[in-house]
Amino acid sequence: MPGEKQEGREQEEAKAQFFTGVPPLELATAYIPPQTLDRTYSPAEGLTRGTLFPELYRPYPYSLAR
Amino acid sequence: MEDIRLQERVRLLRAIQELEFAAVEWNLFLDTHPDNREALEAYNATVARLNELKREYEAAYGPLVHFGLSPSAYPWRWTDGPWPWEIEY
Repeated sequence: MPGEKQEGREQEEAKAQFFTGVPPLELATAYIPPQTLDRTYSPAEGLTRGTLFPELYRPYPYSLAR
Repeated sequence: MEDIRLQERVRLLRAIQELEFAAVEWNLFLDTHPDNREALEAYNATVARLNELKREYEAAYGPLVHFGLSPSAYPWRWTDGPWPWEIEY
């Protein structure tokens, strides 16, 4: 029906307005890129850092420079 | 003398905790990468070393856990203090 199509577009527009400045995205969509095995910490260093894998190390305060 | 023995006990306990954490990390990695041979070898090596250290610890200081997982020398050693979590670092 043409009416339904119209409503769909209005919803899309409302979504686009809600996220001002960013493309309209689905709410709360999680993603997990596959992890590739690389260097690992020693068990001692891993326990201190909270992870065995350097790519998962997230110290606080978080910074991109690692 | 007693101090040195406690230091050694704490060192061994810490090494066990480190290996146990590493074993969990490999465990989690393998859950999503079950066919990764390198990770599986690292996991098995970690577990072997962990069991070695646990046996060494229990032979020297008594059971780490009860519930039928740790053997004990005579007399029953579980009730000897301090328990692993009571040791002051």
